[in-house]
Amino acid sequence: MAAAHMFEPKILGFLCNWCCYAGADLAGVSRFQYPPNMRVIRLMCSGRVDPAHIFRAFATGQDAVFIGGCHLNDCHYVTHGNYDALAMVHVCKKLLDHIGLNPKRLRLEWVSAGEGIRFAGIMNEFVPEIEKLGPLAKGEGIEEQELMVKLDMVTKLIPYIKLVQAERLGMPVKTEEAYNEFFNSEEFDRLFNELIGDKLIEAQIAALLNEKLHTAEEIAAILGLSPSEVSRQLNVTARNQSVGTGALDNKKIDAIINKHQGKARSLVQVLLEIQNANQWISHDVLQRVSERLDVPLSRVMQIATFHETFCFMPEEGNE
Amino acid sequence: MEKFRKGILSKRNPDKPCIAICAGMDCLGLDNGGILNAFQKELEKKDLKTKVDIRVTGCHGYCGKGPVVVIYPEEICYVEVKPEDVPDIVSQTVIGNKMIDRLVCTAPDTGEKAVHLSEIPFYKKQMRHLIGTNPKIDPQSIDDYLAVGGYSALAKSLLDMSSEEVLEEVKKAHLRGRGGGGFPAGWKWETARKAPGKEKYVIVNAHEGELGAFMDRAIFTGNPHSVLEGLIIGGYAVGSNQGFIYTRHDAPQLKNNIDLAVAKAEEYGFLGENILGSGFNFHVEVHLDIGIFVSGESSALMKSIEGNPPEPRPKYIRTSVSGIWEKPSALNNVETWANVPLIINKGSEWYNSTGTESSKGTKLVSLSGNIVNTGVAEVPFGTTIREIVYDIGGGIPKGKKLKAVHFGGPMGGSIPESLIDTPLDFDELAKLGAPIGAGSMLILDEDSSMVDVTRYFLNFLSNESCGKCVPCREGIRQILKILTRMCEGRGREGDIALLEEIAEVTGAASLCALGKTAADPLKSTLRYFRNEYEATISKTQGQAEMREE
Repeated sequence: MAAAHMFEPKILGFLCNWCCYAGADLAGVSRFQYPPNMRVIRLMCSGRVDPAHIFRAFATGQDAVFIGGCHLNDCHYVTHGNYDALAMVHVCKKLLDHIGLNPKRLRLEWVSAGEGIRFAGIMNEFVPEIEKLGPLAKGEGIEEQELMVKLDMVTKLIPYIKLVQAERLGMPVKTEEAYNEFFNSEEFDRLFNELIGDKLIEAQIAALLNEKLHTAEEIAAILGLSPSEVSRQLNVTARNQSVGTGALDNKKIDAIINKHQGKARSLVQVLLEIQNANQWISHDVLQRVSERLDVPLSRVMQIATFHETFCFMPEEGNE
Repeated sequence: MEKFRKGILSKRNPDKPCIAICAGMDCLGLDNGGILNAFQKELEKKDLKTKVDIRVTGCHGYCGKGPVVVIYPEEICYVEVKPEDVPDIVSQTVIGNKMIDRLVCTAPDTGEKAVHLSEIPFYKKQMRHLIGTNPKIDPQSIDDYLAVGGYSALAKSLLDMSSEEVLEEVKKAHLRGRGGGGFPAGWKWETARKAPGKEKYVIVNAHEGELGAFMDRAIFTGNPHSVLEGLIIGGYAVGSNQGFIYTRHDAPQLKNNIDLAVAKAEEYGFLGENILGSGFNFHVEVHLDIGIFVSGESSALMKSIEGNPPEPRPKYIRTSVSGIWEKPSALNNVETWANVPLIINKGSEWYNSTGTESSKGTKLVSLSGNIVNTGVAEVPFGTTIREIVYDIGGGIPKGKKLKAVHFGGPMGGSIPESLIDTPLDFDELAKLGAPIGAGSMLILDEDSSMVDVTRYFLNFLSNESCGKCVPCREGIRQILKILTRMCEGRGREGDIALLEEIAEVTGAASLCALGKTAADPLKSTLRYFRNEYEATISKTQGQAEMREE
């Protein structure tokens, strides 16, 4: 049966309330035909889309992500959120490339409220393109399991990536040319590799080592890097102490929590004991504590950051 | 119960020699572990292990001369003992019953030697109701406490008195909270008792965040059962079945002793269901928290027991009506609770016989700063500050003159040398702008700069302000800025007036006691040492003029 071979891509769309969403609406009202593969989430501004949204979408099995906003300099907010969206998409495409996904699976377009026909046109072009790429992971020829691990790794790095973007990849002028020029420049490649690429490799090595012990050669073979690069990374990682001693295993945390009968009001005591056992508290540990004590993570963070006693970086604790 | 006590006493031979080694905070730091080891080895060597007891006790109070070792039954007291001295002590004093001159406490001025505990000037003037039994008690042994009459007050109140009678007795004793406010404990308990609701709580505040205060630690670490007994009696009087003990993470020894005391008390049936067959149930939970300064404030403390960050709330409704989980909660500090068994045992009339018109009983004060004998002393209310500083404290070292006495830590106030004949009394001292606080006394000699001392306290407070309300957060910061400028010799004309204005607004507009009283050291030093502030400014201006010329 022909239908069994047909691949129907799942596409998630983030459309800005003022332009692209209205444009899509107009396309519908005007009865322009376009494939119905996209499920739409309406946002107030394309600048609201966070890298976390994109990687979450891929992690939950979407084959592509579409972001639609107002034309540049037409943003309905003084903050010009669509420039943020532009910078974010540039970085995310780079990240997708890094973990072996086709960057074409992420697309950013500007569609105004009057351009219903343009919206239909984009859809008519985008959906067949994704169909041709094939389903996520399979199309790229990577194992789904491996992809999930990589997506999870990137998701964990997102707060850091956003910080890097704000601190080091900010743009002095808001013009489309300047943005495209910068994000396609060698300068950007260099910064990306230095600031984010290394972190990604480090995270991959850490994930591999937490799984089981590997030699540097094995790691190099698995990740397709040169052995010298791997050993350099291992030195950095060892200095940051994020391998091995980084995370307290869940059993130990649970033992401490059980000692306090899982009472929510023992939160500070639990955190103190964890810190005594491990010298510092990682985000994962806070999350675990929050789940086991049934206290919202925001509350755990509030208490943990209220007191100077707690440290969240391994270096502080090792002094 | 009395039979049980006799059982314990009969096993003990009062003439059997016993070596009591102080293990208070200070002495711990001065290698008392080494001394203990040396004693154990020496006794083993001399084959005296069964004939002589060693007791590791709580703080004896004489911290400036630690480690302190007391030999019973003669009550011979040796100060500044070192592990090397141990063989001599064992062979000469314990066996030979002879004194060792070099270890005996010598009065610096007269050269007089004081051999026995009660003869030492530091102890002679004190009235040690609360802390006096510390050398006789191993804090980890409930039997030691029972042997000195412990838990008899509990038995008396539960078995012979109704809860109203207990409350009435405490009210009649005019017991005032020792934590700083001096609020009558009996009233507080009554409010909590009368407040609607079945669930009620009683709380021990062992936070003691005041700089230079270490009395509560001395009592609670040295004799945890006395506080626990007071708490159970308080629970009975208030009608509460659940007590909390708030401890800090930086006092692990305290926490250990309390945990052990609670476990022992449960084992002996002083805690739990149907205590001593009276039908009264009472449980205690020990809460360990990070003790930042503001968590000692009652509403902030209750918040942190609930598991929230320690932020105070405005107290339009008292915590005794709506405290932990909005249930009535009676909170008192360690020393207040420790007074309760005394009142019950000896009656309110006996209690009222010591002290002044408005402040009854005794008070623990911690002496620190420029003073010969640092340590914890217990004196009856009404003792003059002069007696405390000169007779008990031994005066100022190096023959310097006394300049001021600062009470109550960073939120307290100072009195000048001219006023040191004032008696120790909640109201008298509050009138002078130097509230007693929790009882820490910082002695300052003639070389201290009052402006600098004030700046030090405000620096501490600006770090500790929780930041929730603006007047406190910003007010303290601005005061500190001006004071720092003055200390650095860049004072300006009009600074004093500006300081006074900020101090007033900060005090009036802040939410909790921290902000309300943050400017108190400033106000009191401005009151008595205004000339020093003026001098820093005029000095700066003199210099400026000279530069212009």
